[in-house]
Amino acid sequence: MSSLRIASPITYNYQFSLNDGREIFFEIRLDPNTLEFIPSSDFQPPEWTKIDFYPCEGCPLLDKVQRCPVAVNLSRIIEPFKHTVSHTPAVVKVETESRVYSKETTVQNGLSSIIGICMVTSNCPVMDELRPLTRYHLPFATPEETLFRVASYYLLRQFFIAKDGGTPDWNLSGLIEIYKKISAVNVGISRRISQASESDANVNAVIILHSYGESIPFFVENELDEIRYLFEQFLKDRK
Amino acid sequence: MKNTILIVDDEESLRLTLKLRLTAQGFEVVTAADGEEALEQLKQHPEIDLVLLDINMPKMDGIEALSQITQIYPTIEVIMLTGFADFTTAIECLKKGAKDYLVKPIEVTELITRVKTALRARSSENELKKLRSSFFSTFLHDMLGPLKTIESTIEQIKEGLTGHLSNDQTVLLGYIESLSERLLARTRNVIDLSKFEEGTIELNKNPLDLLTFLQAVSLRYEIIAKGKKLGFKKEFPPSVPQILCDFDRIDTVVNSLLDNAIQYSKKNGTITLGLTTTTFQQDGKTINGVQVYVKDEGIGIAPEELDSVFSKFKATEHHSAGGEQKITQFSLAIAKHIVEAHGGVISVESVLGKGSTFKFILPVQS
Repeated sequence: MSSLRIASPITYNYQFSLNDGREIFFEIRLDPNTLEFIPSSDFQPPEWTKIDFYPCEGCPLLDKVQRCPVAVNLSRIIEPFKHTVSHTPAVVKVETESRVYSKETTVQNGLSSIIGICMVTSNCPVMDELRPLTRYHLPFATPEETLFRVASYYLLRQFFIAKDGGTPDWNLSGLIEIYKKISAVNVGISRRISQASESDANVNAVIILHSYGESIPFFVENELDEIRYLFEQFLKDRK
Repeated sequence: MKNTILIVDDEESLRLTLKLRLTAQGFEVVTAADGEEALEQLKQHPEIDLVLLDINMPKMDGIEALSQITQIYPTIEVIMLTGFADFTTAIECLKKGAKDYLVKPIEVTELITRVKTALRARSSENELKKLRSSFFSTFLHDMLGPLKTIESTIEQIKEGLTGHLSNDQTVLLGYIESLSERLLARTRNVIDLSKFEEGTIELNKNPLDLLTFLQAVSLRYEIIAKGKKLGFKKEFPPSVPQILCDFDRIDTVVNSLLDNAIQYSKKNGTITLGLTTTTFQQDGKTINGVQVYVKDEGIGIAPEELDSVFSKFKATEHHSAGGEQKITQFSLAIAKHIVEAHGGVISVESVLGKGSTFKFILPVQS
């Protein structure tokens, strides 16, 4: 076992301080070995989490489970915000074992951050592709930060595949495929959430993730030109 | 030329990602975070062809912004974006003039297709408008020749070219002459209107004493008013400063306002033609001007119709002295163009059932 690994659950504590005076807390706990979401025991998932309720296009779990694991995870988060308008100002504080992040933002932005973790730790085979990223979760990531993290993660994954004797995907075509499937999940989940919410904060949070997700294949197809400038000093001699 | 798109969304990451994708498709892109900012960007960027407009935003929401955009910039296409599928809102937006409606999350390829479709339709509509306008303009110019010939022929007949006319023939010829004059004047007005819209009108400006001019005009309208059993009152000061103007065009404006007042007056009402010196604001400056006003005690204009009184093809249903009529108010649209081309302002105040006052101010040359 790696000496860098931690044994206790990984926790992300989110605190939303809304400008209407509401304080909303969430504790996200992840299994330190599998990075799987650790649910609270006393929870009855709502109707809209059933697998056949607005299923995602190409859902691999459709005939295999009763409930959509992504929806079940999200249902814990979205309830307090179902009447909240997306652009409601909020201070969102995120505490991890190592540091604290805080940002004056909107509810939709804060929710987007937390929903991102819940989706990729849910055991949905499509979203699971990004699960290792949650170990170093970066709240309120910008599109550029997201691109850097995702590309780095995927290339590191290819490094390990190559080390293990597999065929690495250095041109990142597999990443484009992953994001095409993720895009379908984002669309499906936003439809479910629309049915469960009376305002737009929850849906818009997924929409933000979707817009990031839709950009990744575009960036990859453009050979990551958007972040190439960071590496120019190492490329000069090769021109 | 590249098309320019304005993206309006309160979420920065959405603006960023959409901008990136649309720029990659060859569009110029500007962004705004809410409705207020969008209106400001539209003012700053007259080249904008299409607006992608979120609905739920702080400060000014998308529906309010849509109302203002379609009113101020009627040729710009608007596609609404919302994260909350609400078809009642969608229908409301389409009724208010949005071209299309997309529910988020949006597939960018789908968005690009819709944007291109809207821009293609806009471009075809503009081409069609230009073609129609050019055809219309040629047709009207072709009409002018025969109309002028009719006028000169009538004149020759009146002068005895075809022999002595009986009283009945003189009366009938006078009737034909007045109809021909009216038709000629209206044809010229329509040609002028299209020139104003194309920006190709040329004004022939000379100094004019509006007081002397209005005194002459009032002589004619006193007779017309009397014939219609209407009173005619003049409110003129002893003198006013001269203005620099195209006399024929200003004559058209005054005649249009007086014709309009006569048309919509109630029986036994009084029409007032007035003149005053005044000041008005333009581009933050106070400008000295001369104001002409025409007041009637007619049927008035409903408050909801006041904004469109000077619109082209504005058809209003009125109960005038002559009964119910549908009037196409071309002449008021032209009057507005003429006054504004002189650097002036035109306005109307009205109380339904009590009458209207049309005013225009022309700047006094310093």
